[in-house]
Amino acid sequence: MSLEIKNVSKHYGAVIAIKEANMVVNSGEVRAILGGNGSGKSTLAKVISGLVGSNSGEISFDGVPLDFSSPKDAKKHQVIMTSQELSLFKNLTVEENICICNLPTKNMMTNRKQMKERAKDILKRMQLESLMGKLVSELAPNQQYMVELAKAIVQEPRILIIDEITSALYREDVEIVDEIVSELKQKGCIILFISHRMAELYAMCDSVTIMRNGETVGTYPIMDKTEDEYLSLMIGSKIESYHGEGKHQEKSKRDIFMRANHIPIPSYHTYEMLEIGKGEIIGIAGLQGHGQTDLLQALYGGFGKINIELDGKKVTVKNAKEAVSHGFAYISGDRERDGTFSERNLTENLSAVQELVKHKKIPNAKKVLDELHVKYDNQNELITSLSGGNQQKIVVGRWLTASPRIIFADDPTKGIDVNARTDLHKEFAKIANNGNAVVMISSDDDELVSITSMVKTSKVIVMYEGHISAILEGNDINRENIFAAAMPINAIPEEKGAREDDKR
Amino acid sequence: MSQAKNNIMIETLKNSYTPAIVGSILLLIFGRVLSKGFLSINNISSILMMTSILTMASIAQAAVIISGDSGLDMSIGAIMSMTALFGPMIVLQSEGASVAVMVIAVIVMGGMVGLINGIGVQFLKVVPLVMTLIMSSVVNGFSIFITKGQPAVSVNDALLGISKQLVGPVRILSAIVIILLVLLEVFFLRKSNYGRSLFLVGNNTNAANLCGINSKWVIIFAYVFAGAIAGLAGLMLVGYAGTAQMNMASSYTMLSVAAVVIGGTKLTGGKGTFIGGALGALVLILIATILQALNMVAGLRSLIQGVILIAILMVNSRAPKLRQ
Repeated sequence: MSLEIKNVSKHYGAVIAIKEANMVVNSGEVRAILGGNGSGKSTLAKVISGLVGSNSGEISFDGVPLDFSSPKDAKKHQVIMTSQELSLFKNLTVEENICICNLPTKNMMTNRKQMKERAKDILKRMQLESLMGKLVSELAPNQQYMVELAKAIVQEPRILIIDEITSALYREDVEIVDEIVSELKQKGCIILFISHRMAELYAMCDSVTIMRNGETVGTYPIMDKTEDEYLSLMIGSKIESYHGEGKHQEKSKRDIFMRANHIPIPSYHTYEMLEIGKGEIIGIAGLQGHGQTDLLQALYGGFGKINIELDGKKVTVKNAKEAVSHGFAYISGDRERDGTFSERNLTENLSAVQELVKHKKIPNAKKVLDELHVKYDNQNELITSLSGGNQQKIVVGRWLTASPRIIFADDPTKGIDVNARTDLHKEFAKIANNGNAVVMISSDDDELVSITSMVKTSKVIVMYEGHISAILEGNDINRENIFAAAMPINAIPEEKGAREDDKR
Repeated sequence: MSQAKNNIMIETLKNSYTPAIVGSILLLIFGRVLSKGFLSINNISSILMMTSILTMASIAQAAVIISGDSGLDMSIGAIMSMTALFGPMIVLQSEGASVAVMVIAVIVMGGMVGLINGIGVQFLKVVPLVMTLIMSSVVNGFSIFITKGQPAVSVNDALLGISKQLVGPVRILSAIVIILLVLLEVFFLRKSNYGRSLFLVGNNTNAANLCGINSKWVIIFAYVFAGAIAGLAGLMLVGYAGTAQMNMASSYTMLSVAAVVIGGTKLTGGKGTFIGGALGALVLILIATILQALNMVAGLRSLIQGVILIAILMVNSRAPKLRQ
């Protein structure tokens, strides 16, 4: 009995998510899948569980080809996936959620008694009986993840895919997961384990498949290599289009521009501090969803009042309007949600901040568009008639016309072409060199290495589970260091009390 | 040459006013064929009168719809009915002065109802459809409570005069509404900072917030504006009708939505014009007048009117796809 994946490819439009992935997993084997942001591990999990279809290649189980048209189809074959984005109904109780995929019925009505017994059984195994009868919305995040796992196990999987589920768990939860995993293993279940916590992987998994840029780089028995060796496999060789490694200015003295001592990160209930120097570009790295966006949003007043020190003066920022009045700017990579006004034309999109919020005129909109090398027909066309890169330039231009002092940018070059990226990097460097500052998140470590080498003062901070796990400066800014800090060793919080302390 | 012609064709087809303009012309021709008196000065000016009042209602509705966030004002008819009842009760020594005070009073009354709508929608997070429907019933209840269900309204001559007297071929009121329409369209909706913010908020509230625009207040003000304009429309209606009844404007709620949509405004927000709503109002009034000219029984008339409306809205919501 084995799961075989042969030459599976998946692309979304022009973006290649998986390129000819290959792997064989035997029954009773726990396989870790390791890779950085955008390496294709989550897509692979989705393909196996039937959530998305593959473009080419073959997946077979026990020699029978698996070709699921839907997750329901996959469930029939007992291929179950637990996902980072929980599949729970928050308005239902724990036992309802656990049994939702196969509700026991009696005379066409739900057999509540049987449902409760079934849920109780599994919760007992997971030492979570106390959760019986509670609504999922009342549970703490880690408990919700455990319920998600219980829901998967009650379906008696033959292939179980655990996608990043442990990132929200505490040590005692992980121990339970460990027990459950070894139980399933003895029954001959195949388990694919996607996680970034190396310690867990070493403890639970038999083997590991490394993914990089959508390819499966290699499969090894987990104990064969050290963590450093795995990291370098994940990083691979450099991509040519970026330069900058080793070209950073050595740690220079910076004039403090802004300081925030108590920045809330609501996703992890943690707090962090940040210092921004004049003329500095700060890159924020880390695996996706480790609190990077929260950090920027908080500074922009997105989570209510925040106290900061700006130019040595104490100020508070309550909302975006106040942030703008202090000269802050916020550029999001999610253009459609946070950036463009799709029904409006270029001029309207460009003038939103300067004219409507700051009540000043833009003297020459055409000049702004030309300076940013925007390709357009006329200023009265809808913004949606432009390409993604040009749309993003307009969003950036909207802020440049308002001469911002600090730009917060959340993955601003996501999904735009290389030329537009380079143009934006130059604009950011120009702003920093004029004595202002740029704080930028990127899911692309190379981009951060490159942009921080373009100015005199710069640093890269790496976030992990709501904390800053490293601050890199000067020649320490390179891909290896960023990667290592994004997946630190033994970084599982000790017990529930540990996080409560942070709040104080 | 043919290329240029083609471009003009495409531009015309893309223009959101086109269906309403073409519809009005066809209806006018149809009306003329049905009865010779249809294009008489008298009939035209009464069509314009009714269109003017519905235009005011549609301006109110358009502001709320443009503000997005599934904005819809179902209390416009109720506000109009209320101000039609209470507006004429103001009696001062000079009739002219009474009318001036009436205008201010109905704007304030309508604006207050709008403010409650806006607060309900933005702060209490009630869905606009539900909030404004409830408000409509509250306003109607208030009217009945105060008048004890027996409105005794005598409309003064100055107010009656505004809708009776002619300036050239048009009655004064229609002329005022047309001027007001153009002024509001250009200086309020398109040029003013508020109008421009309204479009941005209606199109993408998230992005507008990040820009530092206070979208909550922008949307609340859209409801206040709608209430105030609807209040004014109620006063115009009672001046034209000459007498006030309970719930006399209840049909204006749905008609205003229909007029706005026929005029090419998107129900999803962020896009639209007041002038489009006026053209939509013209189409609706023409249909009503033609059905009346056909001497149809009242019940059958409103039934057919409803069917035509559904047909127009169906075509309109598919029009963007057809144009491509």
